[in-house]
Amino acid sequence: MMFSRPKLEVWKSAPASFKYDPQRRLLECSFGVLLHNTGTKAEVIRALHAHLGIPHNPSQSALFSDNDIILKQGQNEVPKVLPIEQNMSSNLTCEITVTFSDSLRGLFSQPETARELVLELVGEDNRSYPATFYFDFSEEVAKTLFDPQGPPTRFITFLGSDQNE
Amino acid sequence: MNKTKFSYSKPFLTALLSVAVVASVQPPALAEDQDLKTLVAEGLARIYGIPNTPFAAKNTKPGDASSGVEVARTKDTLSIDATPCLNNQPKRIVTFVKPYLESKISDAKCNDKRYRQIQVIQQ
Repeated sequence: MMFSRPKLEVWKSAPASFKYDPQRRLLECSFGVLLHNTGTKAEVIRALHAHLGIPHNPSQSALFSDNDIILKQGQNEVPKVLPIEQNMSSNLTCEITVTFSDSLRGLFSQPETARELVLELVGEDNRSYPATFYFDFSEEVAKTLFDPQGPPTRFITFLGSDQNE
Repeated sequence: MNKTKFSYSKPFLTALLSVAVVASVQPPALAEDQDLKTLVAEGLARIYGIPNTPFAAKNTKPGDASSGVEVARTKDTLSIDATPCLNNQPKRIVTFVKPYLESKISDAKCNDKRYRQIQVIQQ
C-alpha cells in the first residue's frame, strides 16, 4: 500500500545580507529560499525557527523566534501557516529583524570568523526542513556594519552563502 | 625564385583592415580583462598545482563581501577563489576593484590541506 506524503526540498536562492540601522539599533538579515514539494501530498509549514551562530558550537548561537521571522513572496508577506501543494514551488525571501542586543554583539566579535545562519521550516508532524547559509564575519565586516562613525545605513551581502552543496 | 602572386577581393581586404583596426583600438579594459584571466589561471595553477583549472569569474558591487583564497592581485584588483575545497566543478573567482577592505579569516580546511583565506568587502 502506498502512503501519500509530502517531500519538501529547500534550496537556497539568494545570499544572506545583513543591514544595520544604528538609529533604531535594528539588525535585519535577509536571504532567499526556494521551496519545492516533489511528494504526493501538500505540506503545510506551521512554524519558523532560525539561529545565527558559529558552526559546530551550539554555545555560541543566537536564537530567533517566530515573531522575528517573516517570509515574503515578492513584496508581500505570506501567511505564517503556509501550504505548499504537491508539485508546486515557492520562491521566498526570508527576513529576520531583531534588536541588536549585547549578546548578539558578542557573537559578532569572536576570534573564529565562520558563521552559519540556519532557517528551519517546521511542517506537519514536526517534519523539519533546514536551510543553512555559511559565511565569514571578519573584523572588517563588524566595522562596516557597526562602526559608530559609519554611514546611516550599513549593508553587506555575503556572496556565495547561497551555494547549494 | 618562385613568386606567388596573391590576389584578394576588395571585401576581403576591407574585412581584414577592419579586424586590424578593431584590434588596434581595442579598449584597454578588454585587454586588462584578458590579463586578469591569465593571472587568475596562473594563480590557480600555482596554489592547487593543477594547470588549466576551469573557473567562472564574478565582479562585485558595493556592499558585497566574499571569503576565499587570494589567487591574483594587481595594483587595482584583488581576485579570490571563493571555492577552495571545490575540485569537481569550475571554481568561483570573485574580483574586487579598489576601493575594498580585506582582512584575514580562518583557514579553509579541505581534506588534509589548509589554505590561508581572506575576506574582502567591496566599498
